[in-house]
Amino acid sequence: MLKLKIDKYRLYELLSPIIGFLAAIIVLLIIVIVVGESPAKAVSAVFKFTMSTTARLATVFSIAIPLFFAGLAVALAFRAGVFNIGAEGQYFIGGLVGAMAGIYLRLPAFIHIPVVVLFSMIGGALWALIPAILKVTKGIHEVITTIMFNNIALALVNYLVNEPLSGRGTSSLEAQTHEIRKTALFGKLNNLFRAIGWNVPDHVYLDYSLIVAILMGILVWFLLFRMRYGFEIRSVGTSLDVSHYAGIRVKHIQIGAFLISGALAGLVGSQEIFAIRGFYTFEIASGLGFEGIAIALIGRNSPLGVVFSAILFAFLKQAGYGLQLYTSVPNAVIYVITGLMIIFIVVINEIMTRYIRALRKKEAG
Amino acid sequence: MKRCIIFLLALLLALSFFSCKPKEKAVEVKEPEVPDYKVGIVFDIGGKGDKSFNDSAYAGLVTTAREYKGYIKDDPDKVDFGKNIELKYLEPKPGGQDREILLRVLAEDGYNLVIGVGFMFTDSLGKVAKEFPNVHFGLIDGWIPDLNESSNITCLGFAEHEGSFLTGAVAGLMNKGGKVGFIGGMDIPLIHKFHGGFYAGAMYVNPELRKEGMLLGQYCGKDPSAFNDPKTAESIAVNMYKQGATIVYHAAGGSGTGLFKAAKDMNKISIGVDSDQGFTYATAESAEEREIAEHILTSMLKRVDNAVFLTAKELIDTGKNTGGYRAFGLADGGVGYAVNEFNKKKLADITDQLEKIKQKIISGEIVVPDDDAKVKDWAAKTF
Repeated sequence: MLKLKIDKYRLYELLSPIIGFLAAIIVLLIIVIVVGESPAKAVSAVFKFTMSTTARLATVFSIAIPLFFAGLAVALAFRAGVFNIGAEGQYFIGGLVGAMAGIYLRLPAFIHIPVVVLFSMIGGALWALIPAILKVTKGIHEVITTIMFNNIALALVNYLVNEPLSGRGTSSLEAQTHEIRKTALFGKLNNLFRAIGWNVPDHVYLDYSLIVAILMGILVWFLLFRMRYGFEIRSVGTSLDVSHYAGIRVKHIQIGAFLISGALAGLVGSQEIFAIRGFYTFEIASGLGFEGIAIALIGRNSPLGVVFSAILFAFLKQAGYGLQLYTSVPNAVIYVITGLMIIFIVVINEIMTRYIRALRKKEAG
Repeated sequence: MKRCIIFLLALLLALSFFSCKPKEKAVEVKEPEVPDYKVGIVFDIGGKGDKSFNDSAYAGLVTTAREYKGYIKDDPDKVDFGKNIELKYLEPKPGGQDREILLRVLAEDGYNLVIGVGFMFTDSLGKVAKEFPNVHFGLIDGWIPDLNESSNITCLGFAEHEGSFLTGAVAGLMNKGGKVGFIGGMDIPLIHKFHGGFYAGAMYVNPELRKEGMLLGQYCGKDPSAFNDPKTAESIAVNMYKQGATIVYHAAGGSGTGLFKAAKDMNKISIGVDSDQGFTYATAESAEEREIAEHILTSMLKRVDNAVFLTAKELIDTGKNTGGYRAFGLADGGVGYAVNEFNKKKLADITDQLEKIKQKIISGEIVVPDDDAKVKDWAAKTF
């Protein structure tokens, strides 16, 4: 299996996102100059804030964890040819179900933590179930149903956290549930990293969700590329008719992929809920489900690609804070910059890949 | 393909590790002019230019800069009186979920005092304060239990009900035969303080308003977005004016612009909150906004600027901040009502009465109820 000779086109292909990234940096510089800030200051702000110290670098990885779950969830659905736009709603519900297991179940820590992870996944999967069934039985397009289900999910958690599940104390004004039991909270891995010489300060969250993320990444890779079910998923995604003709139970596969995607999406909020906050609220970071779509696209729907693009997105997010802290670029412009950078990376990556493909074809004759 | 990515990632990681050390050294090289103290502020939703709370906090930064020869870093308005004190503000995303991140960003960057503007910072500030024991944190309007003098958190509160009592008195005195309305932002105890004070003030000066149904009160919503929802506030205001209200007061943050729009459209009177909103509108660039100013009688001033300035002053004068709780009321100029060159004439007839009421509150003769639920009992006792 181990090939030492690396195809030069493959190398080019790998370079394409980097070139896209460089182009995005140029876009950043142009906007910064237009706004009237020094470009050198902007670049140093970005790099100072993302990789000048191990703490900052660790923060980027920490932010990448929920983004990775979101990207992985969407990517898996894409592999089966379904568009899971509903990761947003699935993680709000999944997080709530997981948090409920963390609040109301009494278990020792070594069981409780896997249980809340499992419940989060079940919650996410259940929220994906109805759109999945509607798609395969009635042919209702999943983009419409999942978007609607996002709105329902948000309204539902808003109601549940405010009314029946409210645990708002006198001290906190934020609507929230009761505190999650200590046995279900994700511990930090910072000491572990310190032991191997990587100094991660305590305010950076590299917690058990990192382990869960790595585990899920490996599992999804194994499922997609080493199992028959994964092969069927990919085959359905490539061509529905051919798969059907080949005797694959297309509907089963699509529902299955949708549920697995929902289960993965259910974990998006786990870091914030079980490690950072310690309770559930509808105030947890929103919009990650939609970012997951872009992450999956840049990562070419492969687990490893998603790792890379999630880190890239985390980098861009941090870069935005760096700009806010160290430069006079207005906040609104920063959102424009990060948005444009993403577009440039996607577009240039895509153009380069096509160009390389054309070159390769030419060489092959 | 896969292996290449792994290889590349490993390379990237390795590179970033190597690049860490020399850069850290580079950061340590100090700039020629080092400020004595660094004070950072994180605004709440709406950011700078909300014409209310955040702007008031910003005014506090400007006062600090002026008094102690400091400057506001990266500010478009170029507030710069010297290099002794570095001041900096950050703005959260529209949803406001990154408050905690922004607090951490400032603390990590070596700011001596970090202030969160608004009670929504309560949870995140408490958490970040634990992570940075050497940084002092100020929480405006919020309340964290079990603090003492040696804590690194100070809760900077206000006696909003006292200030609202005065605006209620303004509404009661200026009101000729109509009803009086109150619009709250998010339905939480803090806003009920405004509500209670306002009702009590209106009833105190105007017997007509003591009757059932003369005081209208409504809230924009149950989640934090209620503070940035002008549309809902506008429809509530229109409704109140239609029901016969002549003056409506709001304690709804950014949603208040909806009330002002309704007051302008229906040619009625409104009362602003937190900062001198009438003045802000009267000095705005667009003619439309100046027109709105005609319909803002006064504002309940919550001197966030004083709170910010006094907290920064404590740090600069004594080298450290005392933890615990600090409340700013009528007596120490923490709250009040706005009088400016534009509304001076309108308020001229009642200024004496208001000053008398103010003195009565300061002397303790009037004890203002701090919740609208307590107004009934209060009225029974007082009248």
